[in-house]
Amino acid sequence: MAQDTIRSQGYERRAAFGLVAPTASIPSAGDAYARPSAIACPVANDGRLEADYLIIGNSAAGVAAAETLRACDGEASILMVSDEPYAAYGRPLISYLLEGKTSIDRVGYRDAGFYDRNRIATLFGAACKVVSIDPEAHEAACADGTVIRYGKCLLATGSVAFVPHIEGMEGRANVHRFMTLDDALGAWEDAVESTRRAHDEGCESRVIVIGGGLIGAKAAEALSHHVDEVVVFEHNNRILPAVLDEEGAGIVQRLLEPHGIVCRPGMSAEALVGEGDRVVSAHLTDGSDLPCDMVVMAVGVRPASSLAVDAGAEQGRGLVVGRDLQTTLPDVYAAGDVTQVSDRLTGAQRPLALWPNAVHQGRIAALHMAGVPDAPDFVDSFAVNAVDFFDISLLTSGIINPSEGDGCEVHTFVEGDEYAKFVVRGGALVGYVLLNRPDDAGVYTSMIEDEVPLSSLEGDVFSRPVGNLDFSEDVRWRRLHKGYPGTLDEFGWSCDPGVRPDSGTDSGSGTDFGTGPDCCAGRGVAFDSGVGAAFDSGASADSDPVSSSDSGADPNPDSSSGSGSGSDPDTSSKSRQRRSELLSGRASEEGDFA
Amino acid sequence: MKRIYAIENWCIDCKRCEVACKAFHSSYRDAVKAYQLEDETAFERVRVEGGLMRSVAVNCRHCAHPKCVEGCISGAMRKDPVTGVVTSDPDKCVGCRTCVSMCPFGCVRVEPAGVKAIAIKCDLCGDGAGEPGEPRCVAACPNRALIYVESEGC
Repeated sequence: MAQDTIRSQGYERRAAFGLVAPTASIPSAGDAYARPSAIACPVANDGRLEADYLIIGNSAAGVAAAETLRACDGEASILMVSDEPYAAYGRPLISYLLEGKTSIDRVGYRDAGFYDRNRIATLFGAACKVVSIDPEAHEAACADGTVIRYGKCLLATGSVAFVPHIEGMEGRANVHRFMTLDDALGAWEDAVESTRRAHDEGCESRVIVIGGGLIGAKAAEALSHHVDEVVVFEHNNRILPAVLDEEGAGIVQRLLEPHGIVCRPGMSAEALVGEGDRVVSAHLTDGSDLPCDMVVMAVGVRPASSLAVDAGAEQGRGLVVGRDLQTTLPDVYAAGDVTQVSDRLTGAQRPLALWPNAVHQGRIAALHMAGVPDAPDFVDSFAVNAVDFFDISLLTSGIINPSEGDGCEVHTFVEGDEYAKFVVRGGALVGYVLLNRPDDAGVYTSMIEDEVPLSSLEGDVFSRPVGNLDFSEDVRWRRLHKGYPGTLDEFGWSCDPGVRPDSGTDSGSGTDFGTGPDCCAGRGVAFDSGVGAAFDSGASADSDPVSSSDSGADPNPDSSSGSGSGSDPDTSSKSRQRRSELLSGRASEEGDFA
Repeated sequence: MKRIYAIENWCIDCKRCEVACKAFHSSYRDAVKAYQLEDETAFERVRVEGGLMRSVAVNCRHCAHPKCVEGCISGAMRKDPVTGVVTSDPDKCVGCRTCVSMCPFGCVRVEPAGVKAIAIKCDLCGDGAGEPGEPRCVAACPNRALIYVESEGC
């Protein structure tokens, strides 16, 4: 049978959804990434490298820490070491790479000049992997024997895949992980090859993903672009068990099916059956056998904390760190997935393997390492998850599966494929699920973070997305007007009684009354399409826009109110009175807004 | 840096700010064409919350310590170290919505852009990333409910 007459159902489905990603050339990461830094690390007389700050790890926490350290200390030597040979890249992007939503030259987390510009020396590659640290001697040893003497050290080693032992998985070329760029590129190549081989034989290609959490689901989404079917096994009775509830998981599972992704929660692979160095089928826990071309292991991750633990650091479910993010080893700090944090909402001590948390902790750890006075402490945190699959958006936060007797009340809203759930405890929001209803999710997050009493909000803030108008006027002003100049009152007028509102010198946009359309008419923005007819002042479309000028800080110290929320009552009421006098006078004089 | 502040008391819910924003950020740079020809690139970045007894335009606050920048997995969302303007690089953005989940004001949205979706938010009408320009919403507001003034202390 000619190859091009074989059109698998899978290919047609993927083509119909526009999901056939270019596979003509799977990029080699080595082309785009070279040794990124020209900065040399100081070498001592005894051959040891020396660095004031040693950062082990080159991802979110490591990069955030490095640039914060450089911002705090212009002179210190900073050395970053990582076992991955690439400049820092956005690790969660690896699935998007396989989907054509980004490319190798765009996954870099910072620009190409980042390391040089910040004078960060780098040792990146498998040979440079730090294999032990000696906190007393302040030394770290690499796989190739290099020894680094450090002043302070940051462990930003992230997560490592938890790989359970499944019979038959060892020594197989087609068993992949999905953590690193190399993992993703290897899986991509294998998937494309498997599909080609399968179609040659008149079959469909299939990938088995073991693990239906975030990583497994994203791997499945990515690989579904390159194979005919992906089957996801999940030990729990629902997919995405850590970040979603049963009802939401059911909706996601249903929406993934048309994309060739079959989820089998409550089922797993007992053994992998192979021929030579390739797995050819999985023996399932229900006794059946499922042929496959490739397997991805995505069962879970755990903190990559062995360096510190081997050196005697205290570990709970992650490295124990103080409020300054120092481990129990002096001068050894930790940030990101490797740490355990206190969950603000439940009190649990657990890892929080989320990108924003890693960046935040990296920054805070660096401030403490640099000895910045009044550096903020890291106290606690809570989970905020954001993920998307095809057209599905999923945002969840906080407590989403409360138990009976937790004192939580739950509000759910379902409309088609939209599912929203809000968990309330003690009169405040403590968790949400927003599936296909992403609007204003961050406002909900801030309600959890600030423990906003729901009684202080107007209206029903759950049945439709919460907005800024739901907050009381005072709170709304405070939230939205950070940095509002003290020289202006709450109406935007200058507090200086000598400044008339239309004088053009007052601190404002410079927009005079009645000339709205003119301002938009410059700079190529055509606004003369009838919308401004009521304000027609006959200005041509080429006139210069009224310049946005402001008089900056009010030179008159008497009128300064000094507070972001506006002026003191006396000045405000005076300006209100003055303005109403002016307005009543102007109405008869100039006839604006006639 | 200068920021746009909304003066709620003057807002009349006319949404000219949204129209001007959408027009400026469209490929046609023309309000009628942006709407009538359904320009796929045109999304307004300021939104008026209203339809009620009060209304207010909400746009990105270009925060001193932006949560969106902290959360961005691709490095697309950046705060310019000199100008302070927060912008998202549409080439690097993959539309994961981490920024949406973190913005306390709900002023970043993710909208379709070809094969992917990207974060859309106020960029102070600049010509380039991180460069502030002349905000069109401020110019369009007929009632001075939007002002563009120098912030204090952040």
